[in-house]
Amino acid sequence: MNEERLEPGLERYARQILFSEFGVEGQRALLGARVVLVGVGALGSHIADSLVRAGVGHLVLADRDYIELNNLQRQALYDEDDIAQGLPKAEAAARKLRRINSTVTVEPRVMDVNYSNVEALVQGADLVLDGTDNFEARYLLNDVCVKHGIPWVYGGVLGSYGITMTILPGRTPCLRCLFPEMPPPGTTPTCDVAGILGPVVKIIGALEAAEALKLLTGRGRLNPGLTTIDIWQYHLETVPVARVEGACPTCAGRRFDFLEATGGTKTTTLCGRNAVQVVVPGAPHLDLGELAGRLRPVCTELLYNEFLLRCTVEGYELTVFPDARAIIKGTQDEALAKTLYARFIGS
Amino acid sequence: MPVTVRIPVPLRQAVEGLSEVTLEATQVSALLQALEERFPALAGRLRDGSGGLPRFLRVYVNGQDVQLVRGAETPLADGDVVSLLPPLAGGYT
Repeated sequence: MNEERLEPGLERYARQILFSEFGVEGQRALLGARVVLVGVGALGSHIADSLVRAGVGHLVLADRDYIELNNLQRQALYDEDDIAQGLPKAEAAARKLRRINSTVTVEPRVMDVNYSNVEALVQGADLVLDGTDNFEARYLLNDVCVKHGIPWVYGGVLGSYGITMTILPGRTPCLRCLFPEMPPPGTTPTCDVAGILGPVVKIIGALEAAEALKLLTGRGRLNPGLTTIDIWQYHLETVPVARVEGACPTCAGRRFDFLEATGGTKTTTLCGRNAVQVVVPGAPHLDLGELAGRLRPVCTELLYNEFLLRCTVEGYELTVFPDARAIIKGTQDEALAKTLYARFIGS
Repeated sequence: MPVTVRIPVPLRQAVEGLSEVTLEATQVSALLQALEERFPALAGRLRDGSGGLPRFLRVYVNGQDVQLVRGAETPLADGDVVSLLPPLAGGYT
């Protein structure tokens, strides 16, 4: 098929339309789709890059973090300028993606995805993709997707190793069928000790993106099980996942433990970052300009833009977002982080 | 009966960095116990309190999920390849 024979707007996708099993119909399905990607770090930035280039019509990018220098080794889309500007990942990713493809909608959401906001976030989504970095977020995505019947793709990476599974609620095993419980804290290696190789991130991200193309077009053969890859040992394997009928609390019992959580201020130690995130669900939005005025006398360094405020105080680096969330760097002590939050931002 | 166990990256640090371990066992439960005894750092990561399979680990024998066979009592034969699959938290932001 020549580009000239394609209707306006489709020329840029000529090479994938030429792939006969995808075709013009597949392209139209993609352009009409709404996809929610949670986490735009290593996995997520590669997934977003693939999907925007392929022409997913509406991509929501939800991420709670900002970019650091050691991210650039494995993350697509970002560069040193983004770090100098102090941009959150979702915003920096959206800016780059719009330069790659200005004809689709990219919607950045700088937020901590949690029980209080995830249902609104995924409403109307055709597909949810996993670019997160922790178990809790994945079980939350599993809960919300099973509850609302939205397909989602699980992916994780560590060291030279990656894992992915495609979940079609009601039709294939869900994450809790696979692992009914999270491993106890402290029994899984953290990013600090295991590190990460860039290529495995791209592979798992590419597999997630490929599943998205098939799911959104309704064509091709989906991953039939659990795929694991170890690029250092060159081991690739897909094994079937057994589902014991009626045993899963989520898809059989319709119990959504992670979605039904409640509580006030929530702290999370951020993997490999020597940082703690403090979230106050339902808190009113902060005026960063006003906060900057209040903190100026105590900060040894202060930077703020429309997306975040960064203050160095007493050796800690506080990054505050308009949704009243903060990432406190320089400690892994959640109680201390809460105290610093209360002292400098508000209780 | 020697059985080969493939150690995934998340568990490798607990087994001195090995990617494969060969052990003698005739049943999955005995194999996991032998692994824990040889590598004490694996304690609590392969078996639950009563010696059964924990709810955060999948065990495959020659690519088949042991939950579809006899769980921890699944028999092992000479030359079997056992894969352990723990969940993976990383996504690396």
